[in-house]
Amino acid sequence: MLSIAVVIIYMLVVLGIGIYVRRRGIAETGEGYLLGERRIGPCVTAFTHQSTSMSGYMFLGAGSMAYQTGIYSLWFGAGDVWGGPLDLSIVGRRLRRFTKLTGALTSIEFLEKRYPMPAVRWFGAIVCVLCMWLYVTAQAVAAGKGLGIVTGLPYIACVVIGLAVIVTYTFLGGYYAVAWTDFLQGIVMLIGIQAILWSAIAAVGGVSGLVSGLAAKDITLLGVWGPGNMYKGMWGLVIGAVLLWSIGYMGWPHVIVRNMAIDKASDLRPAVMWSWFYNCLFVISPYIVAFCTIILLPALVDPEMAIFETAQLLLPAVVFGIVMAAVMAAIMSTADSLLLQGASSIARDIYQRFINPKATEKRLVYVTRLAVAGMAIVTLILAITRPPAVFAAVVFVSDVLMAAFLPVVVLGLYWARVNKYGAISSMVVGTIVAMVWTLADLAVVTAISSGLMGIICSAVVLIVVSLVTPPPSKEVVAALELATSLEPLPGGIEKKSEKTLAPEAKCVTAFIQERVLEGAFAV
Amino acid sequence: MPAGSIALLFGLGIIGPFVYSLIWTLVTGRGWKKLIEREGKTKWF
Repeated sequence: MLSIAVVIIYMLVVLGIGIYVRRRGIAETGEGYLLGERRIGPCVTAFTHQSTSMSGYMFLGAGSMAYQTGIYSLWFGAGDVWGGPLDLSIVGRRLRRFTKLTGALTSIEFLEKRYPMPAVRWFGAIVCVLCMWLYVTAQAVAAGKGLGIVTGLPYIACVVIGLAVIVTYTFLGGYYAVAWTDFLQGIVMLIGIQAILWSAIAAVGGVSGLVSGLAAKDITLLGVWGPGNMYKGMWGLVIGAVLLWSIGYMGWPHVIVRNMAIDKASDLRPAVMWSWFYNCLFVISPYIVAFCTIILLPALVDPEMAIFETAQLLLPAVVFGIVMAAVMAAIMSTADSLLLQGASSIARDIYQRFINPKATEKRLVYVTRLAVAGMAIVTLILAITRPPAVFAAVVFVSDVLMAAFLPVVVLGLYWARVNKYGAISSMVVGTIVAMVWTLADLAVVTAISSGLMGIICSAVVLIVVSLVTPPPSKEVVAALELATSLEPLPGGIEKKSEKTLAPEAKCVTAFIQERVLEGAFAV
Repeated sequence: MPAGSIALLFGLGIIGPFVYSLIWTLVTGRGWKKLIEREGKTKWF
């Protein structure tokens, strides 16, 4: 009962944040609902960045992988620690300034403003919405399993409860509520994982007990090539694992949007340190707990339950409740961001861009809220069927997003020569290669992960096609130069509301030309 | 545990990101003076 009470209190608090934000009226404009009025501080930005990236996978998939493959799994963990610092430092300032300058409110809208072509917008939006939907379904499944362990309720009831809480605060408070609940959830995740980590290490007799216990079970679990050295020499898989969770962040639309919402571009400096601090304490811990589980519970039927079962075995009810709240926090902090990202794309990138360009701010917020609710219902229907393992779905979607968007985002911010023809070709090729590579199981045959292969193909196509086609317009180049410089943005742009900045119905180049006439790009 | 595994993964996963973050925040950030002056003092929270 105590553990149930802890989880209920936690859920009430996150609901309260959504209600509070709604009452403060922050989420009533397009920029307010989709980006929290771009006034999120560095600590909250870093925490929402990390807790969004680290989903139920950290407690289910990571535990499962570490339980089955030992130290090899730490390739994934090591890559993950790099993810936040790399994204915030490489993409952060340029993306924040470019999107403010051009009035972009979603990561897909940024792509169209950088590569002025409608196909970039609709293709990006479709890939984004489908991936977000699959990804959030994986989170709903994880929520159903996790909540079921604490409450003993049937799986379907748990999925409904989990989704209902997430939808309520996302629906009410938009990005601002999502960011602050993510901040809180990030702290709960830290407390929960640290509680179980130190209990588990103590239970196996300390670090030396852990090492000797693993060695007694299978010495190769302590090596970097997996049990029985099954991955020995497969550098393509290892590099893919490290890349997926490090530079991969820069290709995930629901993660890079965090850069766009930070209060000031200069706040990204402390945000990078916060991100590292958080990752050091959190990322590696689930893997080490699962190593302890190999010794404590050597005959687990479902490896995805490694961390849950260990917590249940070792911790008193109240602390177990905190751990379970941490698990729910990991799941919910990702699911809310995915829901909002998918809904933003439906409302801003599809509805307002192609269906109703004259939609008012109020209408945009209304449609976004409807899309949040609609996506949740479709997610619920799929989650009830219990689709395959959470980890596989998360890795698949992460690979596709990374291959589709990473080169166009990063090169788009650093190299003015890449153009719209290269961008659309790159996005299509990256998406197809990552999907085919995964579905045909080519990673096993070639020892190259689908994400790595997707990025390579996508980047090559972007560069080659851009070089053999005309360069971008001078307005786009001017906007990019201003966004990438360290000069302050001119003309009070920081203070202007998006409703005066982003007439979606206009051709983007015309929009930027208008800004040139206004003198906005004259530094 | 083989010492090589620890060194490789600890270095890659903890020390590497720390050094990178520190350099980026403290050294690279010095070039941001003009931007910081205009945007106001950097908040740490």
